Amino acid sequence: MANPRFEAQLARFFYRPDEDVGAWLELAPEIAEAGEVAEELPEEFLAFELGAEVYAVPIGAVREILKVPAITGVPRVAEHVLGVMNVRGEMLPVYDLKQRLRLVDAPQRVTGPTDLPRESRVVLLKDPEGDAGILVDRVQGVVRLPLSKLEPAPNLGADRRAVAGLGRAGGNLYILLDVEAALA
Amino acid sequence: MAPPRALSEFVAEANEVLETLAHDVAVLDAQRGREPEPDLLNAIFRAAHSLKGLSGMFGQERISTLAHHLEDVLDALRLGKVLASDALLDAILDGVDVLTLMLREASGEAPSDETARRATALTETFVRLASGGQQTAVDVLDEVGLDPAIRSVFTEYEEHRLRENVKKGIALWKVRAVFSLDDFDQRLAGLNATLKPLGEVISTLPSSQPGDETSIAFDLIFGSPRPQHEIETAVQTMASVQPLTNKPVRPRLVSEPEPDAPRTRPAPRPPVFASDVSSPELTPLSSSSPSGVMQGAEPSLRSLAQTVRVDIARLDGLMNVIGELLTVRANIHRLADVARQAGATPLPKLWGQELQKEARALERKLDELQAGVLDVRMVPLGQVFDKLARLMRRLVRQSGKDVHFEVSGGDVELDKLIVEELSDPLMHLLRNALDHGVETPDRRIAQGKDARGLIRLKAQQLGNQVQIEVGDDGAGMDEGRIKQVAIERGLVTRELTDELERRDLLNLVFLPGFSTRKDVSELSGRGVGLDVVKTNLARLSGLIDIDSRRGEGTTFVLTLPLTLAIIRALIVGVADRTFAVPLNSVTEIVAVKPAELRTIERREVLEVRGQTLPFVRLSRIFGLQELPVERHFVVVIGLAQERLGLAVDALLGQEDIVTKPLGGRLKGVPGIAGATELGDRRAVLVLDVAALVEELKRPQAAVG
Amino acid sequence: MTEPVVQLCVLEVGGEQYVIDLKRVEEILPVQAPTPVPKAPGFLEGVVKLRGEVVPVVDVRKRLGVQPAAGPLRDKRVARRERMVVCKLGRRRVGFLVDAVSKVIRVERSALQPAPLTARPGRLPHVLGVVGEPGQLKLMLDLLSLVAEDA
Repeated sequence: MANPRFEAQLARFFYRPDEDVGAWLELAPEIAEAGEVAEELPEEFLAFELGAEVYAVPIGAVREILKVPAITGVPRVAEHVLGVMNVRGEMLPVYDLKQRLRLVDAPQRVTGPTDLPRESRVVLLKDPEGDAGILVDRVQGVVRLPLSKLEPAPNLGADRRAVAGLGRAGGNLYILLDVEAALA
Repeated sequence: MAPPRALSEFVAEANEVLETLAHDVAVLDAQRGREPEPDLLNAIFRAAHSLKGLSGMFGQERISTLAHHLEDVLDALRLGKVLASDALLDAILDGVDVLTLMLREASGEAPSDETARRATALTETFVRLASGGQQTAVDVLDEVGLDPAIRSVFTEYEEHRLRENVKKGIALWKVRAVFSLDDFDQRLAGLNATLKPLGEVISTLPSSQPGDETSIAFDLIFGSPRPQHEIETAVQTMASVQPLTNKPVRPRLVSEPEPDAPRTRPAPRPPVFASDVSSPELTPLSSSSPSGVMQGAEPSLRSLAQTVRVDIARLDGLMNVIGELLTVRANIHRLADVARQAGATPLPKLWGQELQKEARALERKLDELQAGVLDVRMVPLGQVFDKLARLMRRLVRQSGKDVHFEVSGGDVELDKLIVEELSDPLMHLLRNALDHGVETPDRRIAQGKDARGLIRLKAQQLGNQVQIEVGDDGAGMDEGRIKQVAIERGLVTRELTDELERRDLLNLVFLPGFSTRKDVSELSGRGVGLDVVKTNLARLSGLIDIDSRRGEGTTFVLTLPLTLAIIRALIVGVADRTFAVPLNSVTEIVAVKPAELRTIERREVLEVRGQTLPFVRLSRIFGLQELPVERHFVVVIGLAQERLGLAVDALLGQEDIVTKPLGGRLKGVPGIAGATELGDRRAVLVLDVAALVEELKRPQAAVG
Repeated sequence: MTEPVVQLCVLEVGGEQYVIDLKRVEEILPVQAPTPVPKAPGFLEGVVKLRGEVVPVVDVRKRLGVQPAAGPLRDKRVARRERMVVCKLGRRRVGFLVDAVSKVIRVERSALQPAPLTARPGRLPHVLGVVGEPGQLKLMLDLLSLVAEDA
């Protein structure tokens, strides 16, 4: 194996995140922007249950789905903030959407997985204001909701602003969550 | 008497050094009349230095002494303190001769009186020459408008090289390059090689500014007469090039003033750096507005906050750790491959053991890496003390007072950030000591004191903290006057001052608005702009305390954490929650029975060693369940001179923690500085002691 | 100590078997028609949008000069098996069109060998080496060179 040339070839063959991909590919996004790319349809959403309702967020907004971690309560914050969780060293807030969306009357106290049913998950959402987790009762999976068939949110009152619209697929109703409004 | 073998070793080695020295001095001699090349001078200086050390080690005192004086002269020469005059060059040549003779005598030849006589004469010449340099009254560096912040990170030698470049009208550039940690040493060398033909790389400063975990940035301070685009073309994509000076560099057409002729100010320009304090309209520091930033006559002594000078050995150490981490990574990959291949078959026990071993190694190496990175952030306080000392000497001269300035503990290391932030508060305290503390000589004599006053700047490390004392043996503070001023300013009521203890009374000087410009002449004590000092220190999680005796002097004691990155925290339990309290703000922990609590205006207080402190239940301010207790654990926290007792339910131990922000959405929760993880990975909230103290001071915070 | 084992993804292009590092493979998708990009290099088929990200697509068959005839002559069996392999190159992703993805193999790292001398320089510019028994050699494909402008 003392063939330096072949060692170089091997280095090229195996993947390294920091490998030199050449000038063209470095510029690929700009090149790609130059062309008109047809929007991918239908859009994919992550569907999850909150109580009896099924909500959905664009899959692009989901950073990660986590089993419910230990959650540390934070004093002096809004009731719908369950606390902070430690995601591989990063401290991130967890929101109780059921409380936020008034699906329940009393705030629940959650300190970790033992307080919740087994199917509960924390969906970690990407957000420019700072990523945050939302506690959900169950993750259903990815659904494809054609954007052209989405309905605007019905007017249910001023405090229902976290609903961005409704989607239908296979006879099911999906409530599209306005992530920004839901975490505000 | 050294054994013959050691002696012969010495002679061989010394001979080698002396030969190099003689060769380089000959080259220097050949260049007589021209300005000596810096590299050559450095080489000669180093040779003289090694010879001194070598001969000292082998007990060859005669050689060591002469080499030492030669070294001094060379140092002065390379720093531009003295010029390469004929007399000086002759003396250096002579020095090499005499050293050669002495080495021969050391190796067995009969010592001659002639050599001894020459050595004595030379020593005297060297001493005279080394001190003959005229202090530069005008600094060309001031004239180019070099950012003082950048300037202050240079060593004396580098500053000299900068000056030489400026004198010749050579422009200074900042060449910034970001290199991957994997091969930065080679690429840095490459960049140096590229730049060298274009000019002189004066300093290479590692910058902590940009870059991620995998890269490191450098600022090369580069002197070059070439236009910017030419330098840019040369470095291509390796680095970016920026002019360093904010004023055009004017070449000096007239060459150096004669070394002996006193230099005069060429132009009445406003001062740009502290070295110009000689201007007569020196604004007293005390005029600084109570609103905050110190706007005294002294520009900040702070250096480039973003750069850290790192000993290359420390970087090498980090590289080694990274190398070892890569080995661990390879081993883990291998074990993972084995596991993957094994599929459904159970893995051998050995595999588990090996994995465990690697996990332990990983942990160890990460610890080392963390410690190493923290270590890189540590810089000696001397960096700031030296600057302060220079400035103080000048200020003392101007003051007309006779003051001995005593500095110690410059080798104590602190986080770079803290050291930088300290320079202004320390300067403030020192100036106050000089202006308002130490009396004039006649006054001191009248009081039976030594005419010469003393100002002390002393640092020492005490465990995880560093204590810095700024003291003087001057007039001390007039408690009565403090009381009076505080009442006049409406800061306290007369009734309250009567109850205040000495220490609390002295601490009144830290209140904002305690003093105004008018006080400068009236108040023989101090207290001028000290609120600013206090605020600055509080930002560094520092405490300041004051002790003063009328007629005996005043001492300020600053207590600072070693580093801001990793802190030691006290872990406490409240209701069923766990919190971390930074230990640097904890002054003591006491247990009190509920019956021992008193109230003042319905607020709970407690007495700790004669001092009455506000008593605050953490459970109450955080809206948590209050458990009935037989006794409260009270964590006494102090921030600057504020103290309060924080009641918690349980003390759970101490941990080293790294505080992390609570994520974008929860930042700014009052009283919470962030979160940290303890052993079980659960997030634990870290209290923001400063915010809590601040909050509880506000009258509307009706707690307790 | 066990010999390090590597996992390779076997691709079929123009009747040859090629291998790439499995770590590069992000997903294998049915072929979608790429959107052409004006002024792009000739080897770029176009781009597709995958979950919001624009990904360039390169037809490996064209790059290797083994493009099967288009139109009615095109082998239907080939068409049914063709795939887009989305690979990581550095921090970027690129979709590579291949005739088929056949399997994943594990080999000892030392089984990877320099290409035999018959592969003269220039003849197989996108091959980094070979692996496998004589007669069933699989060629190590140089994906990085597929997305670089030809020298």
